[in-house]
Amino acid sequence: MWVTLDRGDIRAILHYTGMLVLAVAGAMVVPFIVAVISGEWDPALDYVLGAGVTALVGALFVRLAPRGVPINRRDALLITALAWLAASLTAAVPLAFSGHFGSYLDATFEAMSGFTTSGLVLVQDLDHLANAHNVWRHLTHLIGGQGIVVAALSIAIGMRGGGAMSLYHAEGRDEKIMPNVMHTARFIWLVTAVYVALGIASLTAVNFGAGMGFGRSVLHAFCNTAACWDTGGFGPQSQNSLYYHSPWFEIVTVMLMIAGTMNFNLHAHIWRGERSELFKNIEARTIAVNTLILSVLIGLGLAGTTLYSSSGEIIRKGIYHLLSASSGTGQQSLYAAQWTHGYGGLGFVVILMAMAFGGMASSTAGGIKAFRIGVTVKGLMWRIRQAIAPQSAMVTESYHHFSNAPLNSEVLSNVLLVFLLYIVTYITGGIIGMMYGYPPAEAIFESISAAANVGLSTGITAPTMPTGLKIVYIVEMWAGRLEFMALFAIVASVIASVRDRRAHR
Amino acid sequence: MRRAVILCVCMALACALPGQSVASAATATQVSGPELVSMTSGLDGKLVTFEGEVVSEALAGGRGNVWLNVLSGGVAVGVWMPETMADQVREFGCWSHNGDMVRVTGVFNEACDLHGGDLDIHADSMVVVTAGEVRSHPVRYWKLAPGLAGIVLAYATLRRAWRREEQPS
Repeated sequence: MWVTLDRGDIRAILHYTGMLVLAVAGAMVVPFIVAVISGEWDPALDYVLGAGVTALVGALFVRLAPRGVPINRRDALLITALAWLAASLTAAVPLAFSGHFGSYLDATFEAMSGFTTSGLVLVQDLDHLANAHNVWRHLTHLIGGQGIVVAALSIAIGMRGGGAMSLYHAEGRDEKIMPNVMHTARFIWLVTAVYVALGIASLTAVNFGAGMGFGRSVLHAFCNTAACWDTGGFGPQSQNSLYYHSPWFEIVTVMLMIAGTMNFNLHAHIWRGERSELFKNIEARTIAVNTLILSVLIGLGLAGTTLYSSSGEIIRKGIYHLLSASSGTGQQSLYAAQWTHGYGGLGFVVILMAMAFGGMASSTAGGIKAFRIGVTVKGLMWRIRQAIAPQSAMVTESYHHFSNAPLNSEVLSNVLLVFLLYIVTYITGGIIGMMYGYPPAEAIFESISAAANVGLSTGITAPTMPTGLKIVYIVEMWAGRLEFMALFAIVASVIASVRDRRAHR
Repeated sequence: MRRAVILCVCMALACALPGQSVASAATATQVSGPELVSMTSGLDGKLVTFEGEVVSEALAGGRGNVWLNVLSGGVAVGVWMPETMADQVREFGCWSHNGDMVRVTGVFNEACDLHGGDLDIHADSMVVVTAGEVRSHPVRYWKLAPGLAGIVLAYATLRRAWRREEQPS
């Protein structure tokens, strides 16, 4: 039975969506301050306008229901899905006025790509973009990477108990790190603050050492730290990582990417000194095995090319991009055409696989996730063992994910359902890309990059690409980040409401 | 006889050396940024000339060299050159300025062995074609009114809603 929304539900959903939109308006203070410090007066006014529009939309939504109105699990799914869309639509306002986007849709694409930590870009003439706009683009990574809902919960959204927990889960997070969801949200921000501080300090030193002025060193360090720790992929320059021409830059950013792709619960265990979890955890083990196999394959693939056959090139062009892809970051030191010309068939396929698999659950990474890959492999082994065991034998299987748990059909079917949804989304986006006339390999690559929130690009994502494809990628990024359920809840609610209305006529 | 031979060799060398540099400049292919990064130019390892705007800053390139990132046709390409050659550049492109337009001649590498496989150009020569200039960004003050109005209205809306909640029903 489909439960339809009544007016009270809609008001409650819009109330909390409005709270999250107000948080986005508040965040616009940061680029405004950067604009004032940099003497960028017109961009400063973009943020006055953006904050005004965003705050008004948020306030109008908030007034629809009283503070603390209770919500259920379904409402939480709808709030989360709408919040990500509303945040992107409002965050796009100052970007649209920057003069660096072809249309408001392009600015919305960029904002959605930023919040979902995808990293696909439609910005034009990035090398002349104002500091304020660059900081805002990267701040969307920082807010979205931790989760818009988590960000709002940590500064108290005016909600306690089950509602807050439902919102937390609706954002695609499973782990309860602290006993209380508010404390969990704050812990996530504490971990983030530590890594961001370390990242900014290290990259400032690298940039300053390379000859950048101190102010620009800090600015670039912030942007790249947000992009790598949050596995986003934006960069303040059009060449992305290649701009820096620095192995040191690549070493620091890879370390941030690896830290960013780790489950926040795993961070908590390591912080508590329980390092053995790193070796027992099914996700950590899957990532380790996966990375090892794919590293060997990419090494073999690149060794067979004429361009990237030396060991230094295999590390800087192979392993760097493998880690960038599997962590869902999308930092790249290659030009788009190099993926299809020069990188080699095997290397290209390895990057596709790394993007599709993704990082750990409850991290800033996207993709199918290592937990699901690990459980699927265990499930397959379990089924094989069952098939070859004597009929009277009881074959059991378990896995360790912060605690030991039995592998049963319910866990396996839940994992396989999301696994399947990702595969279907990857293929659907690819087919749509092909229908627009793009070559199959590139269309699939771009679709996986969008749905897995990676951001590597073969060049399809460009201001000149068809409007329909921009919308498809926006939906893919949105759906992939929320792991589908929140988006399906919206679709189901709309269908149920339409059916209900027809039935009442 | 011996003197005549030496004289002939010297004359031949005098003619050949400038001729060689003229020949190099003549054989350098004129390209744009998008052509270079298309990976289908067939210019890997060849001498190329391309024009573009120097953006952002010079970055350390090791052993007395620097990196300049040169924007041509919307694509920036890293150019590696001696520090002394880069000293000619006065203005680097950013939000507030257009950088100097330069003409670079050098060897193009689709995957440079010296620089970890980066696509780059090792410059032989560079000249500043046009000096950089300040970019005009007129301040559009009209954005202030709707922005501030939005913030004030949002505050008033929230204050009214919260007062209504606080009133005993």
